[in-house]
Amino acid sequence: MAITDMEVAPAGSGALKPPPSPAWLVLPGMVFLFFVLLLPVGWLMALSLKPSMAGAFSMEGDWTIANYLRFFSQPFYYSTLIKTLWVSGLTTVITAVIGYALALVIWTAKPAHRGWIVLIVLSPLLVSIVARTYGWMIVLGDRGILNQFLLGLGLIDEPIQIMYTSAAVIVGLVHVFVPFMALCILTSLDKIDPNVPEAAMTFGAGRLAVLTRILVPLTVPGLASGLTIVFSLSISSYVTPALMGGPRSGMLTTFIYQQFAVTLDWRFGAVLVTLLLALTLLVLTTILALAARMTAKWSKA
Amino acid sequence: MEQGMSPYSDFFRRAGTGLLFLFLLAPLAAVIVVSVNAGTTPKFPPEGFSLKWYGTALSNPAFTGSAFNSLLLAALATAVGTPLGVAAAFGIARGRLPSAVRGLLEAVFLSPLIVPGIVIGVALLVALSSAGLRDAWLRLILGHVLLVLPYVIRTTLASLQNFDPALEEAAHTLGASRFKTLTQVTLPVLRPAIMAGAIFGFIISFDDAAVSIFLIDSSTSTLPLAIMSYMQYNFDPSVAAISSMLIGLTLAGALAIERVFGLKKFLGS
Amino acid sequence: MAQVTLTHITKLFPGAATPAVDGISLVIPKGSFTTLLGPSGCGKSSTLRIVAGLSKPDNGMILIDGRNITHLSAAKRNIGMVFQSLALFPHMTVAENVAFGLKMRGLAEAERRPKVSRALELVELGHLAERYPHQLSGGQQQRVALARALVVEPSILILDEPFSALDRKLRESMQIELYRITRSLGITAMFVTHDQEEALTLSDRIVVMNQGRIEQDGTPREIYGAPKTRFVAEFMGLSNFLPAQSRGSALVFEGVTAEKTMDAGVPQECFVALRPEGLSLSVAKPDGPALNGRLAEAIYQGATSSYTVELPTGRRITARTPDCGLQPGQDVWVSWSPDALHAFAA
Ligand SMILES: Nc1ncnc2c1ncn2[C@@H]1O[C@H](COP(=O)(O)OP(=O)(O)O)[C@@H](O)[C@H]1O
Ligand SMILES: [Mg+2]
Repeated sequence: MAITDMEVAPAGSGALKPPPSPAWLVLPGMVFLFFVLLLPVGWLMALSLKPSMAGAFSMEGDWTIANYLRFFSQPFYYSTLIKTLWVSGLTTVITAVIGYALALVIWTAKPAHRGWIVLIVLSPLLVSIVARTYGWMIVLGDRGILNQFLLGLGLIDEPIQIMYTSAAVIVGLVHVFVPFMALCILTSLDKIDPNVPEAAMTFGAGRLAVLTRILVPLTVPGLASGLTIVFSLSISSYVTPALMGGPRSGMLTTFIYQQFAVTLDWRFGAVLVTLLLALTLLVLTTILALAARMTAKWSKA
Repeated sequence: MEQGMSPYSDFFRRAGTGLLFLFLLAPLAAVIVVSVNAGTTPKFPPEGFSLKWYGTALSNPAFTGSAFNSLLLAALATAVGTPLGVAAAFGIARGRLPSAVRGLLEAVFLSPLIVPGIVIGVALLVALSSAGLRDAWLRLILGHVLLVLPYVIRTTLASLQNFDPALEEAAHTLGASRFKTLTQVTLPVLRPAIMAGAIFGFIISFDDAAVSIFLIDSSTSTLPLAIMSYMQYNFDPSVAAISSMLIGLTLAGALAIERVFGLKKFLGS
Repeated sequence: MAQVTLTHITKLFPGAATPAVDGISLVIPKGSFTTLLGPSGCGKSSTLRIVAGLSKPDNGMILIDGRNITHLSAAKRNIGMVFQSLALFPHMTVAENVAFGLKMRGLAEAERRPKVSRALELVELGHLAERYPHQLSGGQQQRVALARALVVEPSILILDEPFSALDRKLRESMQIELYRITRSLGITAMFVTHDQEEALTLSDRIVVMNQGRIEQDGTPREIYGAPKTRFVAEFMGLSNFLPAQSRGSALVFEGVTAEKTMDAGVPQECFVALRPEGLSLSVAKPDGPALNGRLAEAIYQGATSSYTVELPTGRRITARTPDCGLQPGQDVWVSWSPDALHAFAA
């Protein structure tokens, strides 16, 4: 072999070199996120540690936790936190039950019907939030379809007030969050070998036992992510509580709107923002950690 | 022990399923039925068929002006957010980064999904006001790019993670330069995912009220907020008509995503 | 077509304890079909990727027709490669896939068209030119990948386990087709597989690799008929390894002496292997050397049966012969045809 006669390619245009690491491509997005999200949110959180003053958004004043003390010492304030938690909790539980039922309906549907059923289950997500809320007003209003129906049946003598109560908020939230829950659970159900429930039935397990002893435990990961998503979406939802619960729905988010748009006490409003963010993060990490522990036992097998 | 399905359990199962579907579809059906109502109030059952409320809605300058704003805003936000998101997804997926850094970057880029919309809006308002920037369009575009970004990143990242590296290697062996490989192979292969993320981002932006509520001003509003403020004082079926049109628009967008990407896959993870 | 030379190619992946490719030197003559054969992880793909320019060697050189291309990018090497995943461009039609390399070489549409149709004719896919890859069967996709690599008239065709995802029947017909096409074009080809039958079917030359090194290099006949090491022997389906001593032109094992002309490299303490298909069983002692033992197991397998014989030393050997009606427990003699006996260093 004439290896001596070699023509070494010049380094440069055609040279074989490893491609440059394109990690720098995250920079524009990172800069954007930093200035448009991280810095503003951080600024707002810092603002919560400055003395309350109407209209002030600058950083002047001494550092203080007075705003937090004020929030936690007055029932009028901290009750929003409690109400947000229980409305979100109840929403999450109802969503889980309905979402589970719908996931089972999809899972057991004939393949030919499955597409349509999925479309129906997803339909709340496909509709503009204002359109959806307006629809609920037509259904749940004092002279709405539901009241007319109940009056017509003679079940009630006078219209019951549903709109502008926590019940309406919960109905509106459940409706729009059910698709997330159903999809999360369905993802877990789809991983189950359909022979497993059948095998259990041949061993004499009833339908309820199959559900509680087999399906529910096997769908814990899906259920957990569904619960996480729905709970955190509930506590951070604004439009549905504002429209269906009325201006004084008593949720943290509507209270934030009031502080920033009406009362203009931005530094106290910043306390609410900080608490809302802390709550969201706390819920997310707790539920995810819990789910990880519950599934660790059998998913490693 | 139960064997097979008794007629009763079958009946209850069907009735239960029917009630659940009714719950899901009732508000949507109510909106559409009311929108073609001939009467002046959203009555049930409707007093005859008429499309006049569509005419009323479309001739209301508060709706048409804000609808134009919303379309323009969503288009601008998508146009800015898509390249930012695609670039970031490439950086995360292809950058030679420690896996901890990669996880952190991913979490930070998806964080706009976790931060409540109203917090995004109010934080941006306060920060921009402190910086002396009070232009409503600037605020809205910045806030809405933030809304679009995570959706584009999510779909592009998912597609990049399933990307067969041999596709690019094949292009190289066939004589394609790095640039040609990017423009003729990599980006076209990723296009459905990028499109799905962009369309979804567009819908989210178009439909948003929570982020925008703090960012609009008296002369610049968006359609959802215009409808919301109209609803505070009026309850006539023109809101139903405009809502029905929104339902049609969102459905069209969803069908587009379904065609290019698969909706369930998109909402799943 | 061109001659390809690898000299002392070494590749150590970051973090790996041993090199994936460990000083491989190899000359692939013009127009030959050479196969790298070896178990998964032995460094076959790493070697191919270095030749293709997709990976940079830590050491050594790649020459095509004497020209050093070690530092040339893949895009400039004029190589046709068929990937294990095929890597067809999903957004392009069959014709566009095949035309891609020509387009990258700056050929105009009018020049491309006849070349593309000729390449598609070659793989008998002319009628599917406007389909997309996902509308094709596995075998058809395979042919598109081949046509795409061939249409650029590469100096060398490189194929990395292209048939491993196909079922047995399709794999065999694709092997025959690849044989036909490469021989009719007289192309220089480098093929990788871990399947010894595939290697034997296709190749002019087989290079058996193990742990990044070349274990043996020769024609299919040499590799199958005269494996030089125990590793090659085992990989080519030999079994029945027995310790032995070599004495000049004879081998002594299990108390039996057999004549055998051997390579000079076989040491005094060595191993023999008996190919199961070259053994025969009898009840009576045959002429010539034979091993005596007890039939431990007889398994009927259709065309042949598998017999396991336990020797007095407790070692077992297996013979595969047509059914001869022997029953377990019987005392039998095992004899062999001369080319069924191989000897190697331990
Ligand atoms: N990109 C890589 N990074 C690190 N190690 C690798 C890489 N590619 C291959 N290896 C390692 O190099 C060795 C040889 O791999 P490969 O050439 O793919 O083997 P084969 O194709 O014969 O199966 C294996 O141990 C494999 O794990
Ligand atoms: Mg390999």
